[in-house]
Amino acid sequence: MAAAGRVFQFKLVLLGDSAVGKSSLVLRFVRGQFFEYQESTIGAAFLTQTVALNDTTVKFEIWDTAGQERYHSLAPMYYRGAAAAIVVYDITNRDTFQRAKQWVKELQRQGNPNIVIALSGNKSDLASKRKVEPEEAESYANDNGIFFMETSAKTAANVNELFVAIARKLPKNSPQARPGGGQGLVNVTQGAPPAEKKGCC
Amino acid sequence: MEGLPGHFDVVVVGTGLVESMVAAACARVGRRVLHLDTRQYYGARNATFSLRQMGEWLRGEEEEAEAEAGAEAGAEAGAEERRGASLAVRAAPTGPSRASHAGDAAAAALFRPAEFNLDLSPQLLLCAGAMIDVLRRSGVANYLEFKPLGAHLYSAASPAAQPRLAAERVPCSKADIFLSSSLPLLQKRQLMKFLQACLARRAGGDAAAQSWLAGRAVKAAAAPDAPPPRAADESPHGSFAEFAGRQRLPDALLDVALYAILHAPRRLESSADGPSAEEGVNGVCRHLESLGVYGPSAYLANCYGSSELPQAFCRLCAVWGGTYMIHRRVSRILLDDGGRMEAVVTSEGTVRCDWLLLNADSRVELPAAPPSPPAAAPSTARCVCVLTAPVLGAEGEELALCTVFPASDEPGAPTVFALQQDAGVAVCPKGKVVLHLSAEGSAHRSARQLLEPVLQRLLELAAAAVPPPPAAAAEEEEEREEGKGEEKEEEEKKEEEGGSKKEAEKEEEEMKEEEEEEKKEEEGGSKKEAEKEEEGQMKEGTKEETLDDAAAADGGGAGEGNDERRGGEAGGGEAPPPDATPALDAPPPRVAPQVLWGAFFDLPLRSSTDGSGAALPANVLPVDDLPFAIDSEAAVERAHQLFKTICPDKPFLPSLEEYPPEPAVDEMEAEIECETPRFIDTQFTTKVEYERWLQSRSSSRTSG
Ligand SMILES: Cc1cc2nc3c(=O)[nH]c(=O)nc-3n(C[C@H](O)[C@H](O)[C@H](O)COP(=O)(O)OP(=O)(O)OC[C@H]3O[C@@H](n4cnc5c(N)ncnc54)[C@H](O)[C@@H]3O)c2cc1C
Ligand SMILES: Nc1nc2c(ncn2[C@@H]2O[C@H](COP(=O)(O)OP(=O)(O)OP(=O)(O)O)[C@@H](O)[C@H]2O)c(=O)[nH]1
Ligand SMILES: [Mg+2]
Repeated sequence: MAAAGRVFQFKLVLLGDSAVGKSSLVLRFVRGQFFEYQESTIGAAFLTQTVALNDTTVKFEIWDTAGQERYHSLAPMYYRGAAAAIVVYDITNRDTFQRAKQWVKELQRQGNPNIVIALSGNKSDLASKRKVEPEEAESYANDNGIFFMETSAKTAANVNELFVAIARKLPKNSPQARPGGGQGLVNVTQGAPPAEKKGCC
Repeated sequence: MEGLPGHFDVVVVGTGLVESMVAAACARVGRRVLHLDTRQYYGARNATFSLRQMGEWLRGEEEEAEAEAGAEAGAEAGAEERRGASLAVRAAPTGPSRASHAGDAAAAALFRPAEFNLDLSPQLLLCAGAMIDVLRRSGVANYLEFKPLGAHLYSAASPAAQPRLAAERVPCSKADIFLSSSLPLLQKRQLMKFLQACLARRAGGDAAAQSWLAGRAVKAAAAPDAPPPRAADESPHGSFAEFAGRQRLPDALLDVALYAILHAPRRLESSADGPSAEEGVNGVCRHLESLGVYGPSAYLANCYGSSELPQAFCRLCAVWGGTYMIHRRVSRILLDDGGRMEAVVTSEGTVRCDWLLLNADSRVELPAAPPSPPAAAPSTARCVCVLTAPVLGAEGEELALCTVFPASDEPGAPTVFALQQDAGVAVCPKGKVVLHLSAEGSAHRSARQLLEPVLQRLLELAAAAVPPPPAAAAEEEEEREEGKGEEKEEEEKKEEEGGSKKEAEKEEEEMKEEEEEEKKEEEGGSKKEAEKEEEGQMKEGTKEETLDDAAAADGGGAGEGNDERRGGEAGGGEAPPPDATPALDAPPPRVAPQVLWGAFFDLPLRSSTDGSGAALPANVLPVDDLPFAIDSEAAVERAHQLFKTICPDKPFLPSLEEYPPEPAVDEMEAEIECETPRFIDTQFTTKVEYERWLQSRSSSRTSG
């Protein structure tokens, strides 16, 4: 596992209407869990999950919207430096598909030009209540140069596949999109570091 | 759009740093928070703009759009008028006053506007300060990226109205002091003794002084909430200047302590003025504790502009259940019979709430309040510019702070803080730098009048530091003398008067200092000053060329961009094209910096009640604009106070260990079993999860 070559870290953001299953997808991917009565994202913040590809390891830094999208009030810091985005809609609700298209548009207009976008039609287990056909979403995705999968956080169908597909698409040649290539960044999260910087002997 | 819940514990209006910290702190301890901002962007006075947004803001275009939106909201509020008493809330102007800017067209041709993150209120973080502590404890630091400040400099004032700008390192660590080339030996000793005296007056001071002496990092003395451990009679009394006098600190070093370390905003009127001895000593100690924690200087900067800080706290608030609505406002406060606020009217409907926090982007119309006084409102004077090359710091130290001391013969003169940022903190494209100048505003002098001379001096100094082609140097000197007659502006004239006292070209000074180091140490500063006067006169020409430069960038931009200039005087007529400047020919690595885009503006310090805060209902808390500060310590303190008013017995932005989340309401999750994918590391997603983790930890602890 440690021999899996180089490790890349990427920020991945989730977008989509409330209750389409963004948090559920993340929870399924990171924890293998699903809650029927998932409360509207509270306490969800910042998860990391690592995907091992053949010769490399991709570490996702996953940002959930924390509900800020509900009134179109996402802070710009949410998108900043995002290498990948999963735009989620609920296959049983057409409105959420329309909103998903708007998110894709905004991402392509405002985001990092190399951002990898995945469109996820979630709740595929509820096929009987389906309102959006996969063919329609597929052709929309093809027209817009993004990729598409139907997923179910409930049954776990295609969830890992979705993230692995993203990990494959991410460019491994460029260093992570960090200011100044990430040089000289200071980690303040782990208490004061051993500060033996300036002994003069 | 979903309906808004009818009740919140706390409604916060404004997404500035203080408001966002309070919102996050309240949500974190289980309060239901609704957080709004009247503007389309996060940050209020702590906003960070792209070049285009900044231009719009400076021109006041945003205000016009808001005025229209405001009329609508007012009508809506009127319709909701109820029987009970209420207070109207108006949108207050958020734009600058006396603003002038130039270079839009030039900049637009060169860059994508989004490549810039320009702060309204640039800030640094003190490494051992309360902000870093809060960020780390609360986990908000996870959302942010930090870089250490490369160089912390100061530039002392000369007796004339002109600041002496040869920037020197702020001497703090033992090594700095010994390595300083500008301090005479005697002063080095005095400074060492003084800093030790400050450390010794704090809790655990003797140990701290010892470790500082040994060149090690000084441990922070006490948690912010802890009471001062020393007995009152032992703590220093009177003003800091008086304390320093008792410690026999010479004036030049008192200036360093006051302006470069404590960042006093203006020249003291008398020695009894300024910070108290206790505040000062604590400030000095805090500074010493900050050295070497994350880098050589006492400060960190965060990447992407200072608006990331409020945004990160907003995210924490949202993560703990806060509801966010940007570009919405509160238009009316509804009162109960006892005169307490019981509900607010927002653009999304009426919500009941227990507390309301209002920043100064809103103004409450108080019936009893006298008409707003025409007296000169306090303000912050600001200059932001995009330069082609750094003016401060050595190679690799582009992220630099320089305090320009207030004129020593002018009590009340403002201290100017120059913060230079580069692409390393993601505020501009590679190869460019952003320079922020900030000072306490003045009713009599616009930001431009206050700061332009300092900007010119910095440019001039940087230009002078560029080694000119040796043969051409003499000719250039003459050319510049000739071009002198074209000066028009008043502050330029002023500057010339003061110019005779000007300092030497940096390079020469450095060389001379090396030779004459010992001599000076014995004779004190007087001879040095005299030398500088002489040299200063010789160098007179340098300044003008850079003045013209800036005027060119200025005037050119104004013409092409058709900028409406409000209040600020225009950039001084016809100017020669910038490429006429000989300094441009200077070879890399360092080229003479030029201004590509620049703005001067005053930021009025507003109050949501025009100062009559007493007339507000007790559960409506105004958040007035804070005066400019180079670090965010005052904002933390203000946020802490406000939070304590709302939640007196809850911890302020605690860690998860310190304050586990409130118990979840329902325990009825039906978990569906399925094989767990292999994961290497993770954090928590929900409160429920976190609790389970805690439980598993405590049970494994008891069993193990
Ligand atoms: C849906 C959505 C909404 C947004 N809303 C806002 C908003 O409300 N306010 C706001 O300020 N920002 C908004 N943004 C913009 C977002 O914040 C930007 O992605 C961010 O400002 C860019 O910074 P970055 O460092 O992440 O660079 P990235 O966009 O991640 O780019 C990585 C690198 O590529 C470079 N680069 C990017 N684009 C180009 C280009 N066209 N040409 C050359 N180099 C380029 C960058 O300089 C950077 O070094 C929004 C973005 C999205 C997707
Ligand atoms: N049947 C089914 N239900 C799902 C699926 N994914 C999520 N849900 C349910 O949909 C509801 C909302 O899911 P969340 O994950 O909270 O949705 P969200 O997009 O994070 O919502 P916000 O946090 O409010 O933006 C929950 O009740 C989930 O149990 C799925 O694949 N199938
Ligand atoms: Mg969610």
